[in-house]
Amino acid sequence: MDFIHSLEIDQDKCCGKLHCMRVCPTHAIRVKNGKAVIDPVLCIDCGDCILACPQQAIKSITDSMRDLDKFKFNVAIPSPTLFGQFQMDIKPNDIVEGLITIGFDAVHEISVESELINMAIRDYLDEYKGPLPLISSACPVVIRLIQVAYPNMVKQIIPIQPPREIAAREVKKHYAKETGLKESDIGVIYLTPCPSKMIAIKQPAEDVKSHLDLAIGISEIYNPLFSAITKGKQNNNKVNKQGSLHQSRTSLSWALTGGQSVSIKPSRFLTVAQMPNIIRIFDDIEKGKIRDIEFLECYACLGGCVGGSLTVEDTFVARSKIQNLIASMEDEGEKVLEDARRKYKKGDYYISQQLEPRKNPDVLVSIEEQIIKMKIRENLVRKLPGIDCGLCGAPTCSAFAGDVSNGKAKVEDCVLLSAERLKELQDEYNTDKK
Amino acid sequence: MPGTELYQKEFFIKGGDFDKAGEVSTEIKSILKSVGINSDIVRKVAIATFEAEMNVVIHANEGDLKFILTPVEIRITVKDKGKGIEDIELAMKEGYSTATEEMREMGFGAGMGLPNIKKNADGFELTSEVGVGTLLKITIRHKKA
Repeated sequence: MDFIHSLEIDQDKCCGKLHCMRVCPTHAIRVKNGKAVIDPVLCIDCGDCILACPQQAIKSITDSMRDLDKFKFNVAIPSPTLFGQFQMDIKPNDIVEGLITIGFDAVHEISVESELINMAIRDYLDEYKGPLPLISSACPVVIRLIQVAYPNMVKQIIPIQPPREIAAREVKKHYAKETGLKESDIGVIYLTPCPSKMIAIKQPAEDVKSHLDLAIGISEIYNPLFSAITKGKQNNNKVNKQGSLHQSRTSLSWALTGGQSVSIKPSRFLTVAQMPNIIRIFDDIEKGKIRDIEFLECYACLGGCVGGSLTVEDTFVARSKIQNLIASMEDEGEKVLEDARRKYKKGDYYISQQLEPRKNPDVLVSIEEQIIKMKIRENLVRKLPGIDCGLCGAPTCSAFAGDVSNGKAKVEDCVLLSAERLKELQDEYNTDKK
Repeated sequence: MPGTELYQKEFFIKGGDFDKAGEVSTEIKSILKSVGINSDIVRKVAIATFEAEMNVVIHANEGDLKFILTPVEIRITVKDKGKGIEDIELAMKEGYSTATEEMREMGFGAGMGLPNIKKNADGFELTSEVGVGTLLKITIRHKKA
């Protein structure tokens, strides 16, 4: 299976400074001949490398407004994080009007769907009998981390679709009926806070087709949207808007760490954010150290989705704005809840195919062969300096030993074992000319 | 040959060292993962080894853990020097623990360790001498016979 990714390294800008390689949580990056290369099997689209690169050589690719031309009628489904991206006097309704002004035909807020998914997760928690904790499937990076590095925890991921998918399914039908167009002419576009949700749409982890057609980064539309909103407010325009805006506490709070636990109310829950913390907790789960937790909420980004790399506002400021929005909601979202209770069909929200671990071609040989490789690794690790300098092009000495055992690197790539390699690097990085 | 050792490694566990507790099981887990052992088996071994390691940390002065991988099974032997177990039958009961109040406050000593090891192992053998130490031998099969 070929994995597609949202990250692209600009080979001209990359000068092999190793920062990306050092932060990659799955050790997916190697630097060969002065350029970074990403292993598509190991990359989980967390985007940590984007932030680490001093050259800004790594970009995340999302769709753009030009792609709306592919459809005759375009419906935007904004991530709830969008509502925390502007100053407080810009209200959610202004944002929806702005979206219509910049070219969407309708906007759909995922409030009812968030309540539906909330109910579905609660039912799933109640009936589940397997090993705990159950892990939220909200963050696509977390799902992919489990598929790549924690295969035996795949069964603990809650197999329920995200609200945006349920919404897209319904929105397509709804507008096809209303406009008389074919469903394929209706574009459903997610306005995403992070590149990983774009990948979750282009290539869902469970290997099926998404109901969403495109994903556009919030940062991509921010400027035109902001100017449309300010102009609209000045002229006191009333855009003839389509779509509903009934916000719910649930959908807004899901943009923040801890938001799901607050609305799902599991008996014992745990919230973790950022890759090194998630990895530590996952290691503990694997050895049975954490067993009194029912529900685990993990986010690759600090603060939750408000910390996504395609957002514009500072994570903490955005968090405060979302919290203010929730606090200032006029009712308790009762109308949305009522709507959701009426629509709820138990069992209708599961992902349509089971999640499977990702197969790494390097471990697809017999145990005997693996052990030979492991002995090569162990012998080599003993010889290596253990300082994880990264000059061989691998993030750690032990990752380097692994590469050698898999035939992907040579022992002589270590600068401390080979004077020639050092010379090579001096040429590559031009250190003698500076 | 089913009995041949493909790989073996020994680890030292220091009693009372809660900082490092769990490192041995983490290393064994990563070895098993890297040689492509089925993930359900890795889970069983990780849990059993973690509990055995914690038992040494909580109850003994020091111990050695020996890990052996054969074409069909994983053998873990933990030999510790410590106070030993007075009544093995009682120690095997869920919820029974001799851990101190202090240990319990730290979240250890729930009396689930030994039962948990047994639940995850295919072969389980426990012998002990009071005042000398305890020997635990477990095997977990990774290939059907």
